[in-house]
Amino acid sequence: MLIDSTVRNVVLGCLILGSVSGILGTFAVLRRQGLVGDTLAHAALPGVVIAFMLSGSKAPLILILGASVSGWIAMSLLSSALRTTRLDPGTVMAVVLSSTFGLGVALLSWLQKSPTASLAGLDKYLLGQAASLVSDQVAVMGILGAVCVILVALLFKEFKLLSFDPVFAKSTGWPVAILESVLTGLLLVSIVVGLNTVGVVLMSAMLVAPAVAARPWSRSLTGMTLGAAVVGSTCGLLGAGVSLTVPKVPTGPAIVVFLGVAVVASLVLRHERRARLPAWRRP
Amino acid sequence: MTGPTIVALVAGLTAAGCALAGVYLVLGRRAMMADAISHSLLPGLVAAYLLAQGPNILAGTLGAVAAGLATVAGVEWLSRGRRLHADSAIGVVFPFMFAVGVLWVSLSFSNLHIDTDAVLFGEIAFAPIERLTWEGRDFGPVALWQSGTLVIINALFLLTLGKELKIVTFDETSADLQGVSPVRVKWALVTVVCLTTVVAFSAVGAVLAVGLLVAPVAVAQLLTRRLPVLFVMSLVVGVGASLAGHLLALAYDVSISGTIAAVMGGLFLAAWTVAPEQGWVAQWASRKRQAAKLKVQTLVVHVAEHRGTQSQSVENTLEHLVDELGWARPEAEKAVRRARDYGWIRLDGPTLELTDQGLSVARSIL
Repeated sequence: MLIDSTVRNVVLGCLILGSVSGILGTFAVLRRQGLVGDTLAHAALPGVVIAFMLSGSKAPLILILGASVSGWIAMSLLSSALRTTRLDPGTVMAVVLSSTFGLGVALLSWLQKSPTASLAGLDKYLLGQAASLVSDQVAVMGILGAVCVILVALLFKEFKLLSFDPVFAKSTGWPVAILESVLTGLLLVSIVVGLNTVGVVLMSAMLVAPAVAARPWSRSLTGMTLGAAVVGSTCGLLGAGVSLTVPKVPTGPAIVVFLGVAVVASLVLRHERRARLPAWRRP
Repeated sequence: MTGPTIVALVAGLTAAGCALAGVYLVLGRRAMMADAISHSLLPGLVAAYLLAQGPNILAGTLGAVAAGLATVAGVEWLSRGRRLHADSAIGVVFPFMFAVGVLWVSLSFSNLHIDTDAVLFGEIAFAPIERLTWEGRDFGPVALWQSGTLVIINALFLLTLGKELKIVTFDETSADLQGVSPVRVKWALVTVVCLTTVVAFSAVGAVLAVGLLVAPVAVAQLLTRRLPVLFVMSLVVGVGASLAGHLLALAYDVSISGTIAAVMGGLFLAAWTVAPEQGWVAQWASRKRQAAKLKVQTLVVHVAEHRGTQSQSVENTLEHLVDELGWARPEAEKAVRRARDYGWIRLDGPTLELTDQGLSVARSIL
């Protein structure tokens, strides 16, 4: 073995997460769902805790399943509340986000006083801890990530239409509701896969920032998606590198700081370049 | 005062202050701004503690408010003129601020007591312990002073700027004509929300601060459209949920802030169930009523179509409705019964006859 297995796990985990969340985040940003990811990440917490309470196991697949179920419930509540009430989407998201997370915290604190529960690893879902990734988790991340990427590649044309003109898609008889569920499901998978690496709070940046950084530089969806994957995985790699070399630096926050720098650099550079073009060529 | 009483008081006052600040935030469709602000306070807090060389409350509050304002400015900068949706801008900015805060804490502040867990969940259970002291005298718990001041400040804010807030929220286009600057009013509101979030998050943590600001107003919005009622209801829901959540948390010995947030979620579900117009039960019932009414109208039109024709005695019977309209028998019976209740048809043996009222209904449809 050439490199230490911890190093390999952290680097691989951050690479997978960066690219997968970059790709799915692109669609979230284009569909103006920048904060849906944040809501789902918070809503995953009670699912993780309940899955652990029911199974007594901390196997990555079981916790991911729990997170997915509660994320899915939250998503259904969110969309049906938006359909039936006059409330603003932001209002409903804030309510869903805080109450599901609160439920998760309450359950977690209930577990903590029960002497039989070994909690190690569960609280990592809050802020994430890439350094504690084990090979099992990385393998699960890799498989689920690959499924996401393959499905996006297969349904690329459909997702494209859904992102830019859902009304037209519906009028031409596409199964819009099914496609939307698939896309949301994939988003959810990319979120729960990232939770133990970067945690609940920072997950939103993993989804949104790569797409925001890539957007001004490409006129095609393919370009933007690939660009977001590159930005996400590069920042993932850089963050992992810094946290492995500098002591006391947590991985998730390091990645997110790199992502923030990437967004600002992208927007400023783009602005500069545009300013230098002759007026008639400016878009 | 006993410990639990102090905690209950702090929770209730914080909830009241949050509800007051939350109304116009939610009405202005800026609920998720609260999420952005509450997660961004950390770096401001760290910077202020660094400058003040210790956990000074006043410096911390100022630093955190500054960080909150910087976050809102950052979101505005990202979403202005660049065709970036505000949600995406928020989704980038607040994790960035939070990450900077966490990095800063873990790099230079490990010796100082900023616990990132406490930032997320708050420490309301410890509210009775931290006391305000002045020249050796004990003036009671700091959190009580903080939350009490918050309620007073927010109430004063609403009293002085209430009219302007109303104009900007409900009729922004005419605000300039009425001599009200939407930009200034917006920043005043954002500043108050930042201050509220700072106080709330030191008591109940970043995530519940969002819940306290938004959830009571959301519940009230489901139940009323009148502004004064909205205010009262938000206050009642916020304070009520806090006290109920506190009692529940004590009973089961679990996290107070988490339980309060979960109770708010439960209240939202309850309000969404029973709400008069927007509730799902009301909408389900009204859909049922619509469907039933449509059935009766179909029936009346059918009877009118065949009225006075040869086949009348065959066509206008219950049996025939089952055959021709493809209705199930109980369905047809129900429609006939309902049409009789409305006084639209009467039964002449097995034949259905329109009343005058039924005839005019059928004519108005045709």
